Amino acid sequence: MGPSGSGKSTFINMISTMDYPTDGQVYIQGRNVMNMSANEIGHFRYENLGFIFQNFNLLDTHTIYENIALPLTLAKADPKLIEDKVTDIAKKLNIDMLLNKLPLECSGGQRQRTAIARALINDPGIIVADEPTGNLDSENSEELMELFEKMNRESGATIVMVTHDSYVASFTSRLIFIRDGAISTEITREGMDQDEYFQKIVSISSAGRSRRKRA
Amino acid sequence: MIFKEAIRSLKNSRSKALFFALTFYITTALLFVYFNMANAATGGEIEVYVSSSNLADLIQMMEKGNAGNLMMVFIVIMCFIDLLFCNDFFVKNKAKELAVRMICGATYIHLAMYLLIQTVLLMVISIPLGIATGYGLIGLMNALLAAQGETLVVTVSSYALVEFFAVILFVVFWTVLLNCSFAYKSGAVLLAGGNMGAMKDRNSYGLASKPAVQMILNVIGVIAAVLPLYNFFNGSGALAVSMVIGCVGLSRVMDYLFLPLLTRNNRHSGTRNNIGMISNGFLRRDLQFSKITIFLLICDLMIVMTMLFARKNTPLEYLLVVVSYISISVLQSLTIMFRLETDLSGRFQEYHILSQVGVSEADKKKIMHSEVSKFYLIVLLIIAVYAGTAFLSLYRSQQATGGQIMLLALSAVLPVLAVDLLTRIYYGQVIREPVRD
Repeated sequence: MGPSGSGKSTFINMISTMDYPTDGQVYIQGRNVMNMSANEIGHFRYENLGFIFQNFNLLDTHTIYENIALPLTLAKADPKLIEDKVTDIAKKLNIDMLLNKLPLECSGGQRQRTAIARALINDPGIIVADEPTGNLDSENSEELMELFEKMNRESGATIVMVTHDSYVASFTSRLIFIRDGAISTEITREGMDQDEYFQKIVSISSAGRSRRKRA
Repeated sequence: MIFKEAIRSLKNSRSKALFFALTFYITTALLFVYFNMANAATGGEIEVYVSSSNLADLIQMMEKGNAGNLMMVFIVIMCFIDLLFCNDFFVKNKAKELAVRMICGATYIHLAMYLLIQTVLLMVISIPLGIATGYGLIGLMNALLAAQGETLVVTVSSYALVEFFAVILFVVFWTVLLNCSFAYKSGAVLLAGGNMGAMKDRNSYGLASKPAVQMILNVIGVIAAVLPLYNFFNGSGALAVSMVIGCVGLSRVMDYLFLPLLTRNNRHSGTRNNIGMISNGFLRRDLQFSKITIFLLICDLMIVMTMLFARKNTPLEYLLVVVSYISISVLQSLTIMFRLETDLSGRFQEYHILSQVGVSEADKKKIMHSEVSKFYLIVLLIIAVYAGTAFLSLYRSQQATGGQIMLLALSAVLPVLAVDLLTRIYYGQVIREPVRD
């Protein structure tokens, strides 16, 4: 979490290999991504990373099925396996009846679930989510966060998420506050229930806002 | 102030302005040659028909069989359509810019002037060049006429010049006004926080709905699409009418058989080839967006072919119709390109998403080339099937020689190949990721 311009999205772009730092190195799973060639980065992305964005970032020209299948076609998976995996994940996310539709024909929640399905289809080790609830109503936001918790619990995927929403942040196990390009505070949930954790996040956020006002 | 802003806007959209100027140049050269030739062929009777809005006059003109008069009306309509799509391509990306101007209080007249100044500036560069090229082409025509033993020489007449300028200014004024209206509406939607893409009725590429009715309509569509082939092959005179019916059928075949086939292929074996699957998705959108211009091309070629071979024309009229055929082929190919590029101009975001998912820069280029190749291959296939059958019929009935058919075939194919190349250049610029310092 952090105010606008603090460097949250820049940080997420670095770890998702979309951008490079002017100084320092980026290591993911022990590999220095800055030493990778363009082709290696492409492979690395679809094999290890899943992306979820506020604006969904789906291909509007392609059907929901094609959007979800994309990372697997890049990995040159067998078409039968692709069909099985897409159908399976679409059922789990309750979008199986939309597979032949275009994204613009679906609601915001359905599009976000499509983006999630695409991010999960290749079982990535890391899921990068940049304000994934930014365009969703509270019901869909809560549903999404519960889904993230389940993914983290069941498949062990690491979810790195940027958010402005304290309630959404209260679903995390570790929270880093960033200000002016540096880590300002770091907290972990450690046995707190969600309400206590939420209150702690709100108090840190408010303290940060008061400090900025005084400055 | 408005003049300076218009120049700045032109500088900011250099590549689009260049395409627009190129189309102006080609259109001017063709129209200039055209009006002078038609004037020579008809002895100055043209203006009666150009200004006539009476359908009965048009039918009488067709029955009278004066190729020059009919072609004149036809070419003017084609120029109008070509410049309309070209201007649409030029203006579409200015919708956001116009929206900002609207916020600052610009009126419709202000915006229309702003766009009109840009168009006039491009005209000032293109029209003199087009006229100079037109002079050269007229010299070439005269050489061809002399080679055929024709004593008539095409001269540049003041009468034709007045007609030429009246038509080109009329076309430019209306295309700018129409597209300004579109941009104004788009700007209003943008201001309201809307999305122009979402405004369109974008049908899904679904595979099934009401199967029995769909099947009957599909059968009718296939029959309608094949009907012109039957008529062409049997040498029926109703080439143009049957081609219009054919295009209605072809539209049905494309929307309800071919595009769902692409979707089905992408869903099954298509996923084996990632480049093919992604480019097929883009192709589906391209075909849906640009099919009307493809059908226009084939309809127009057929109409001119009817003019060419259904009557006994004088050598000058014959040459005029050949020039019309080439002009229409060039203008319609440009129309297809501009229609397609209007849609491609917003494709950067899609390719950026592909990068995020892990598609390499090399593969992005392959996807782009695969999409463009497939699109223009389909255009060429449609031309080959319909025009090819007509050529065969003409050759069988000895209405045209092998050389004439070769000329007509090349005139239809070469402009499509040229716009294929131009599309690749433009598309390559659109999808290029900005270089970071």
